[in-house]
Amino acid sequence: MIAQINIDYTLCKDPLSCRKCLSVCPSVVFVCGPTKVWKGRETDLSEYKIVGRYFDKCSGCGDCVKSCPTDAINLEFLLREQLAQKFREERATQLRERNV
Amino acid sequence: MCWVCEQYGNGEKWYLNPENYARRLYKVRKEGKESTGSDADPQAAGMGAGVVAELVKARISGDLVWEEEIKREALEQAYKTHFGQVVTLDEYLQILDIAYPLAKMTCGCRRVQRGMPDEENFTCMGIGPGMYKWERWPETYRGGVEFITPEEAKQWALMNHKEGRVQTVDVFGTPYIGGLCQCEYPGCVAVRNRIDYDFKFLLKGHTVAKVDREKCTGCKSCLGRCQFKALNLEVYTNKAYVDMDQCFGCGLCVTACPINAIELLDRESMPGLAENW
Amino acid sequence: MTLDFKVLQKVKGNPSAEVAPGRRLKVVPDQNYAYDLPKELIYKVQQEFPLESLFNPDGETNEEYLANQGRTFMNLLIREADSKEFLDRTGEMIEHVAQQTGIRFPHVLERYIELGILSLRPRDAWTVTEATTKVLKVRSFNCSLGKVFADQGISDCQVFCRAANEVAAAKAGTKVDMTHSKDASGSGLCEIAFRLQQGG
Repeated sequence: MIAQINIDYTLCKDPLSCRKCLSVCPSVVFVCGPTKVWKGRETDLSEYKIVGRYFDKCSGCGDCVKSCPTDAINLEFLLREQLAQKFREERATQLRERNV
Repeated sequence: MCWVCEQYGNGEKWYLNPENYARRLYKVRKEGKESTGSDADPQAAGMGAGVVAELVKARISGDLVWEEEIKREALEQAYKTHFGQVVTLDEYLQILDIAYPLAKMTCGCRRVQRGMPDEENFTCMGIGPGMYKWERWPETYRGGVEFITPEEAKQWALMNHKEGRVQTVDVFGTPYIGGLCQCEYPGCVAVRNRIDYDFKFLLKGHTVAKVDREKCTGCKSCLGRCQFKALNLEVYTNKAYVDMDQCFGCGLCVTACPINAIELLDRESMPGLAENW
Repeated sequence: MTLDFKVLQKVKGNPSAEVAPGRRLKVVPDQNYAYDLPKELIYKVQQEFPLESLFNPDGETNEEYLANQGRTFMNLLIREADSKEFLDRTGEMIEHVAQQTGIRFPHVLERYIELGILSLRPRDAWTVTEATTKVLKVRSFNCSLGKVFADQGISDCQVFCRAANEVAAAKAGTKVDMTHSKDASGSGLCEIAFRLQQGG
């Protein structure tokens, strides 16, 4: 099965300072990147966002869920084939649009 | 010589050609205001990570044609603008004599993937005239910069190598080399994407490590040095094993061997590996 | 590999630590620096040093005259480029880094050379092909100044540039040997190489 990593951004406000999930994940699944880049100053910490970028590498160990101080992370598991089907449809749509 | 050498090497290895580190400092100032900021995709953070989200989808779907298309298009663009290659420590020290200025900075990959604080993560280096304008991109140089001399940089490079990081050169507008990274798996996005998704944003180096099976005593000093999943112990013969097909030629295992039982060979001297970049 | 196990055993230190106290620079929030060369500097320099001043109105434009004009031009340019009005952030940072590292070559000099080219012939094509702590090479293509000289029957245009560059090197605090090579085949290529002298 493959993980769907849902993060509640109303709860996760300062992921880079907290960095618990980044640090604890045994598979380096997460990335915490800026949503804005400014001229003249560094991105504000509140403008950083955690994403489960390499969700295909998630083992489902649940350490991130346990370590999150705000309970912002939720893991759901889908059958690989179910997800594959969804992405194949996305691809088909992409190809159709390209051929128009 | 790899394809980059053929195009930009001027008869030598492209990253030893001083021309690829030189740039004008000045141009005439443009009229009008620069924009004050722009949106960024948090998913794309880290070196060469722009296509990861798509690649993961293609992988899961099992559509190889899709995956190849994503890589082909992304690499076509990357090789024109932004990519990297592994170099040896010896070459790296030579580079520190032809690139200037040299400025230590935070490794952006390990910040965004592990949340490492700057004071433990000042292991990247911005080089060349663009560094005088580092304040133009405060987020790129988050945590600041530290300009150092070539001699200080060489000591710093040796420390990084000793700790076990791979030396790489990084292009910002081919063939201009604007960064020297000290990479590791999986903290470095470029290494991770190459090893786990075979995305060739990071090219292998010009050397390959080979174990001398006569000399190797099985002391295991080299184990743990490889960042490319190319080294393990052959338990049944008690010798180090380097998967030469998988080796990137960084030399980390070589310098860990107390009896010089691993040597770095020129990739091109090995017919079976000569085109394996 | 010339570097081996033994060399590495002697290496000590944490690469993330500061090389020397106070060396690390942090961004000053909400700054609004300007980096490139402002057009106003070009106007100012050209106003005080119009192209006509390359030629002697009262007699022969000989080597001495050209050398003198080269010096006049570079002194004027540096005075303006480093003035409160025109000093830009790139220039400030170059000087700051030079102070921190003790290394002035090539960029303190390169800055003057580049600003000289841009303010005298802003539309020309030129590039920097080498800029190490030992060698600086600047290459020009179809130099418009060379053409102006040629139109006046002066083939040894380098006298002007050399005199200007000598002033720049002195002001930059770098002792250099200079070589000039102009491609005679008519390709329009002109390369100036500066090599830092031992102990320069």
